[in-house]
Amino acid sequence: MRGGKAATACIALLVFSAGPAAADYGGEVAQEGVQTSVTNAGLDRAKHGLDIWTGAADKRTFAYASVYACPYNNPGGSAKDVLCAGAIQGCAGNTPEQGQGPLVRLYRRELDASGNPMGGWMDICTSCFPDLVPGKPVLGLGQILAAFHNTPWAKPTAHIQPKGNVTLVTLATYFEVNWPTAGFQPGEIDTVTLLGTPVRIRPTVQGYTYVFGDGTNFGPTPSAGGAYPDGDITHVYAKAGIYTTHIDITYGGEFSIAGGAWLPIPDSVTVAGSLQPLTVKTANARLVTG
Amino acid sequence: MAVPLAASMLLAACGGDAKPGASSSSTLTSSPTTTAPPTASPSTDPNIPVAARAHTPAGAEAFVRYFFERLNVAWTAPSAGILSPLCQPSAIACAANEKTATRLVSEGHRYDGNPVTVKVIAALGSTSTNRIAVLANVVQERRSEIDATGKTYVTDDRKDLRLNFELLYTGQAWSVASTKIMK
Repeated sequence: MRGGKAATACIALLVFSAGPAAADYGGEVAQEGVQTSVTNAGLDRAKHGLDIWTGAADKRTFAYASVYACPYNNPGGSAKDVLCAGAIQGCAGNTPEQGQGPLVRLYRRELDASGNPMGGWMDICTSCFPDLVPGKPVLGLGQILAAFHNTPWAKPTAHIQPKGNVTLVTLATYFEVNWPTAGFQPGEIDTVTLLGTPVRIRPTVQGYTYVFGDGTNFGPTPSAGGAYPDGDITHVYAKAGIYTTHIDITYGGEFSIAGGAWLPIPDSVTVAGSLQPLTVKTANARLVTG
Repeated sequence: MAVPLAASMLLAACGGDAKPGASSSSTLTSSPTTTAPPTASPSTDPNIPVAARAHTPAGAEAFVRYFFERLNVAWTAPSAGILSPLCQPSAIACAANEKTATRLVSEGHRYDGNPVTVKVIAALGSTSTNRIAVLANVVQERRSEIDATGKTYVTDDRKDLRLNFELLYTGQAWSVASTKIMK
């Protein structure tokens, strides 16, 4: 179910009539139904005391609670509300309108006229809008993705051999990734605070793209190159000239909430590397006596 | 391939009016949702790995992974009767998977490669003492149904699927209660 639609149900069960025999695993699963998480519209209804599904006035009063949709998480439980891969993957790939998660499980319990609970927590649905659930807001992936995008990324520079950024036509020139001290490079942890919760973001490498400045590129590749003679990223220039080279990086990342397990961030950011001029000269053979 | 099935009915259901009950912070007990008592499958698969029998979230994840291993065997060998012992009789998708395996055997057809590749299996949490939801991100591969001569009958499209498995613990092992596409 997409955000913005008038959600009236969290589980829609599709029942199909029998047709010609066909396999198609996904099609066979579709016969059993589609499970959708409650939309932001439904959550907004709950916040205003209306029925979460129909929007009808509801004389009852409820308390709401939510937890990440992970094993062992329960409202009111003594255990910390931990995040798990399933809650991330349950909404991964969604647009902001669909809700980017993490997937949360929403509970409610009815209150009497004095505000005392009349029963236990009841599991009512899941949602990919954790920041909109009634009750205590749960940190959403959208906020984590925003923090990921705001990371002060380290810009790689190209270490080039031969030394001095001068090479020769037809000579194999070696490229290697070098890191400046500024910014966060792969493996370096950036810590931010979101909704009062410490969130660690650890950049990872999805790939490097080597831009040689003569109209040719190599990558994306996971290789950070290397020095002569073992480096695996080399380039041979055909013509003399001054070329502007750079190594661009596509960062992935992992995050950890409140010291919890590291989980993959379902997004990437490409950062252009610092420009490095490279002079390519022509070598002239000369006979020398002596 | 497109599913040549016509939708005939749309039912909506949710837990909004479930009966009240006590919540618990104990493991595998997160919801008081009223459910039917566990029903052992007619004949539980004796080959379910020990890890997939554990009454834990990790055991549930291992069980779903095993289910897909068996599905791939059922449609490529092919082999009938190996999926039903993994599912509750009410599991519609599972019954359809088994029906396909049975048809492949009877017609002398098979799939020319594994129909499903697992990307991610992750427990989402328990909805009652003996139930747990498990997320499965899988790929329905582009595979063909062929006969003994290699003639192709149908070819399935490649699709990414995000599935919600509802598992039931029968006291001996996990069992698939339902499988739904997550949207």
